[in-house]
Amino acid sequence: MKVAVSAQGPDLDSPVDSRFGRAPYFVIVDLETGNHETLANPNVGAAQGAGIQTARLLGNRGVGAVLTGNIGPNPVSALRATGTEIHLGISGTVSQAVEAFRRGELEPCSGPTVEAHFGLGRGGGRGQGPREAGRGGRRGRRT
Amino acid sequence: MILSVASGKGGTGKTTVAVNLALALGRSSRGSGVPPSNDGSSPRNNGHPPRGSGLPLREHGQPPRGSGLPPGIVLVDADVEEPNCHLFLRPRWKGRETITLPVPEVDLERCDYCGRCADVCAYSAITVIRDVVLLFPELCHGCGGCSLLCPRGAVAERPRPLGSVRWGRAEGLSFYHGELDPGQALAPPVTRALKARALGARGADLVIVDAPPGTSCPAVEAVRGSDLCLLVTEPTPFGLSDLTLAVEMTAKLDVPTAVVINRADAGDDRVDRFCGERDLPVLARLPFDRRVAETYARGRPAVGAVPGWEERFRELGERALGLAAASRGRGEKRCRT
Repeated sequence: MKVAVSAQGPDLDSPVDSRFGRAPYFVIVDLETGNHETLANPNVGAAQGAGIQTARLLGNRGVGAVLTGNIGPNPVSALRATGTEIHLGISGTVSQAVEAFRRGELEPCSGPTVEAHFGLGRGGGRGQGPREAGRGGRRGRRT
Repeated sequence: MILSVASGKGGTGKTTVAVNLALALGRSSRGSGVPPSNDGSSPRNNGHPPRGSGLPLREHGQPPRGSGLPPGIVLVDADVEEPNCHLFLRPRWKGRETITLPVPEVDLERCDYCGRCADVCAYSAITVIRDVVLLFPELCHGCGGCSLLCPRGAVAERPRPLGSVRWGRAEGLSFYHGELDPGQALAPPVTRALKARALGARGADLVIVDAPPGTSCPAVEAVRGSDLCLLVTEPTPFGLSDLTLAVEMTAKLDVPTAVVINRADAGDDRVDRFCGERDLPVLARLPFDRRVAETYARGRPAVGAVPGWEERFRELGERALGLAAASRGRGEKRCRT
């Protein structure tokens, strides 16, 4: 089985990145051969659908399990539809995460942990005035 | 002629300005209330283009086809995420239309999972992973690219309801507003349909568009194509910060822009200085008036309720129309050369 880990850097010693769709790298480890490859994630700056695109990228490479920190609802649907295992709340380095997975220590997740657009980490274009207070986050999405 | 009323900041008084502007111009075009002044000079008209020759309104016109509305001034509430002009106008509704967006539907008998649709979709609303096709209709912007470019003709389109457009009459005005359905995120298609219906009404001489706050897609869609955008702001640091963003937006849209300073007796002079530096005409400085706030809280417009405000908004309207006509003239000249 191939396992993909969202990573802040390109190698096995890099820390796990807590975002799925907008993680800068994925390190993909083949558990049978022990080989690994690194993908620079082209969806980091996507305006929309970064999680779905990333799920597609990994799915088409034959990845069977994803290890990451948080994930939104759309990539969960995409990974589930292709029978990909999802493990969340992962921290430490890529190789530590893969070892924990190999030892069967990770529980598969039951659902998304963050709302859509979580990884964007920005405010919105909506007004900031008193009548608008408290709604900026919800209305900040670009449509 | 299209006047849009927008702002960066929420709560500056867009709806107050749009509703009262429409009412004041409507009253003067019908010859009731105070007659429009023909005085071309004004102490506050500091160097701005002269006013146009009165209001570009027809006295008698054809009613718009099929809508049951007479011609003249059309007020459009384009804050489709939370329309509120109707709370002040209490219109008699005449009609309603559901607005839909075409979204993809895949015939899996024909699909060979080539992934062309997923490659062309800018919003990941359709994706293909190995032998699975996934649709995310709430992300679809309805461009039709997937259907057009599918090599196997496997992608059809179905209409997905997003919201509705309603229209009616109030206080001698034609009134249109859009409503995005609860849970929907995609406001611009509803705004586009709303504006098309309002502008298509035969005899729509002057269309006043109340835009949503901010500078994101819903506001851009509401302001796009206006002859003049009035940016309503207040003389506070927040007001100035968001005005700056809004001015960048109208510049990108190539829409002539003027400023209305609301609660002009509060705050400081930084908004005024900014307008001076950017050559932005300030068409009105509206003072805070407790009586206006009280009528607002009761859901009534200031025009017709608080003495002095009809004249204020009529004067603002005349200046705006004059400026819009002058900008339009310059725009046409630019186009010819």
